[in-house]
Amino acid sequence: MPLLKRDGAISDDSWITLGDEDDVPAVGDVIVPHARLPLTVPGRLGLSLPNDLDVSTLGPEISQVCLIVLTFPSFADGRAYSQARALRNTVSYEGELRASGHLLPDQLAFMVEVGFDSFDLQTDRFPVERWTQALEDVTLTYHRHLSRPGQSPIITARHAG
Amino acid sequence: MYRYDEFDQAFVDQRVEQFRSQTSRRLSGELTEEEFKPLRLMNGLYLQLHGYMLRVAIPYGTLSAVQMRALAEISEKYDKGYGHFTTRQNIQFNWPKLEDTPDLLADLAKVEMHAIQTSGNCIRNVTADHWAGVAADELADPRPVAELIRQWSSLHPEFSFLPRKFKVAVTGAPADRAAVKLHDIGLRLHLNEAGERGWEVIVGGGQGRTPMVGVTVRDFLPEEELLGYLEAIMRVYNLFGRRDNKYKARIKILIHETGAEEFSRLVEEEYARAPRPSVEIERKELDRISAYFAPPAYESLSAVEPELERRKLEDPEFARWVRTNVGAHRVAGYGIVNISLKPIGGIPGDATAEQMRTIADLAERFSHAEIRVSHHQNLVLPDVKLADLYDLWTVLAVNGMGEANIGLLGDIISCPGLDYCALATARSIPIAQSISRQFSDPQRLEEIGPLRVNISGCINACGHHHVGHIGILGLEKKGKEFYQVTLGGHSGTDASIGGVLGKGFSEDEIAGAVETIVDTYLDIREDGESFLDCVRRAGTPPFKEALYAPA
Repeated sequence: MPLLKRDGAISDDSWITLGDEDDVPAVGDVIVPHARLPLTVPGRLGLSLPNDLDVSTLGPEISQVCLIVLTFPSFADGRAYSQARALRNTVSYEGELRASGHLLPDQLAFMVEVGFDSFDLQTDRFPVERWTQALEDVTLTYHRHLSRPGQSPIITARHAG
Repeated sequence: MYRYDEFDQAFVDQRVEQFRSQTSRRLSGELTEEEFKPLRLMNGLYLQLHGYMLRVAIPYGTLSAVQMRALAEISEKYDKGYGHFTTRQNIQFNWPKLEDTPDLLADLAKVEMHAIQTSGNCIRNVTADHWAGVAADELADPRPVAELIRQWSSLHPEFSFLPRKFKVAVTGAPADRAAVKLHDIGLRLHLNEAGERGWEVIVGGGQGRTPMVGVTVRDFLPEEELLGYLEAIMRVYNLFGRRDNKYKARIKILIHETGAEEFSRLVEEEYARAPRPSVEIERKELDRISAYFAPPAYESLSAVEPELERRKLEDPEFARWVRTNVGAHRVAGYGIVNISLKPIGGIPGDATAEQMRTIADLAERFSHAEIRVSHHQNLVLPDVKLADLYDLWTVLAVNGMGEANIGLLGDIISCPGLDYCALATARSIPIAQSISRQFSDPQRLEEIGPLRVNISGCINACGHHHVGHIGILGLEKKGKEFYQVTLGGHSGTDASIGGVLGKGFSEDEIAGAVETIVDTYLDIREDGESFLDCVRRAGTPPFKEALYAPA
């Protein structure tokens, strides 16, 4: 599955996703379920979280994590938006945050605002240009704690100076 | 009233273009109906029984004469020349074509209006006391806070895919005209001894299948903390609200199942945990918004207007309309004019393009060009000089809007029902019409006194039957519609949910059943006792006896 970064870049996903039982490979970056932590891996460590997990309960084990993947089982299930915000704001997680599952291009702007950096694309459903274009559709936001890098939220712009 | 600055305008314009692209992708087949659905719902576009319906947001029920005129034009350009004012202070158009809706939204944007979040599982258009800013009993105008909430909730990235829809209502007055205890979040203003503002936060009220009166989680939340605290509530709801069953997905069910105390603890914990940014900008923003709601330049007038008194003596019909339809204004010599959209035998809340233009003209002539929509599906001209009432009433009367029935039995709330709605199980408009005809004598209505009849065409309760003094719920059994009656509901400060009386009635019987209930009340009421007070005192037995006892 191609990967979209929030700056619009498209790349191949180099991470290897492991299930509960899969062996850790000799080389490469791996994504594992939360229950497998702590874990020694050859490359970088990524963590995959279900959307009903209370992220405020995450402990120091995530300090070794470089990537967290949050899941959207359906585009209509919005729990991962709040998980993302909690990871950024209350857990102060600063690594890469990725959205995976049933995503719609029209949701990307929201996802960027709450702190996602990358997206697993379903290119079988929508052409790549639709995804990259979607990042530009709505550039204005009223939410001052939630703007994208380089973007000024309305309320701050209004009261600047 | 509030005016868009360049940011608000650009925001809405971008949104129109985004929807234009989404619509063309649906029309080309790139988007499936399932995928298009949440996108169109975020822009107020429903698929109904006979076609698409577009619901336009009227934030906190306030609009200008210019906006009302634009709505009239839209109703002629894209619809059949009328619109329907709803119990959420919005207006809906029943007949737009899908391919026309982007242009319709662009026309709305030209007059600073939109349809964002009038549907879908997001924070809906915020509602407020329709007498905000002018009511004699009000502590302060709640609309600056409502506008702050409107902006904060517009395309909120975290809260646009909630378990279910989410409704917020605000009031700045002790007498609750905004039904704040019957919303997902209700906010009521209080002042402390130092005169500082704080908001009572009421959570988990609502109607629908499981009607509940909300619980207070904060008695006095400092105004600057409002948005931060709302976010904490929303986050707890978004993370823990049920998603396995859409009928159990509203926040009231979460509160009911977790317990109010535990829910409140979760919110406080989340609020304490979230970073507390400086509130300085919120204060500045509130001040900026508040300036738009500064009171107009009122003339210094006497509280008693001799010309009005003379007209009332001459014309008893006019005198009755003044008694029933004009509310107490906080400035001497002015009145709050409530325009009934409930003509005898008419469709509650409907207005033709011609009527909308008439209202716009009257607002410009008599009421600082401002109009309100009430959740009772009526319109309000908030700032009318008592000396102008007669001229105003004359114009209303010849345009089919002079009915003297505000708050009385003829002022029926009704959802669109099976005539339009895909969810309905029974028709509700014809029931409203037959009851309205049955009680067409204005003198009798006034003798009966305050009495709210609310009609819903299914258990989702858009017609607010749970809080009708007499509530009517349309159901269906084996292909036949029938109507269940509840008594004793109320949406005011002492809100209550009505209790079911007994076996339902057929379409032909229902107006007669209301008649029997009213006759029973007139029989047993004590001196000066309103219908609601009478039901609360006597309970349902005398009414059941009259309705169901064998003859």
